Amino acid sequence: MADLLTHVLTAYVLAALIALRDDRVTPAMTTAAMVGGLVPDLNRIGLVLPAPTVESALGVPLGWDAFSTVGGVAVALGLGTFAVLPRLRRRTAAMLALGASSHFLLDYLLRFPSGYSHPYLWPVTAAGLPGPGLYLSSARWPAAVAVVVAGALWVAVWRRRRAAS
Amino acid sequence: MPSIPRRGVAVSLLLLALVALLVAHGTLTPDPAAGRFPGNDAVAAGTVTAGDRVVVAGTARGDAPDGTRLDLDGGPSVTVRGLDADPGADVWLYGTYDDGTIRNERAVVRASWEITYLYAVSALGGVLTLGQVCRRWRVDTDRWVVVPREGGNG
Repeated sequence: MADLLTHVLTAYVLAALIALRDDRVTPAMTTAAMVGGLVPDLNRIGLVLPAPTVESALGVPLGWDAFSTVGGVAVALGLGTFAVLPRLRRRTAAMLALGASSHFLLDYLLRFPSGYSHPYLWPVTAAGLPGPGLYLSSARWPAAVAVVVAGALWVAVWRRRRAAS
Repeated sequence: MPSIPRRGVAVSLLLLALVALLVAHGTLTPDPAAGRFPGNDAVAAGTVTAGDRVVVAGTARGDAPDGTRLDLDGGPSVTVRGLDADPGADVWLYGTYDDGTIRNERAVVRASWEITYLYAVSALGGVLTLGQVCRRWRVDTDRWVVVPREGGNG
């Protein structure tokens, strides 16, 4: 995981770039992209509700990291899509998927000591993927870059909407 | 309105699928051939044997007689050979287990403030997203859907 601020701002940047060209990508839709960028980090539920605690209470195995896989994310995005009215579902699903995809891409580029990433593609494959190891989740520059680019796009989108109204 | 029960069925199936995935992921065990190495749990449980490659995380606690002492997160202390880390540093490493010690092969060593930064800035990202969701969407309790605040046009 890169830091969550970088993830949600990257999702915002991608959605805002589309919003500059396509009026269907409203502020609510750019927010949906940010939510999509957050979903793979739902495995952090384990920080407040550790898996072993739940396992001993329920008597079944549990892996919160399922949220950080394409399988868990696909199901979570399905739930998000059904939370909105039918006419907004396609757009919402697309924006959620945009955010979640950018999350996986940024995390795939991370540096892991073993050289293998987490098994993001589970349940397609349970194998860790050999990654490029470009940066650490605690690096400061990704968030700095994301803040600057997201800020510039926020201004651009705001000016476009003001000119249109 | 036939769409309402269909939505209920779809949501129920998705919730079932989510529970199934969470349980199935909990049954995954280490498989070095697939890039999934035994971790802190396996070292604590003593299920690793000499020569096994492991990925562990913990806090450096200064010099030990033949290396650096590492307090594993939620687990025991181990001695790591070939590791250069100041006391208090956060360590995440890939190495080879050998009878209670680990020979470091590749380590990520970070000052504790870097981990604090990671959590603080991530919390900021979470709060920012939550704030935007509350600002741009609202819950329509008549139909149990979330709808955009901007006049329903999406």
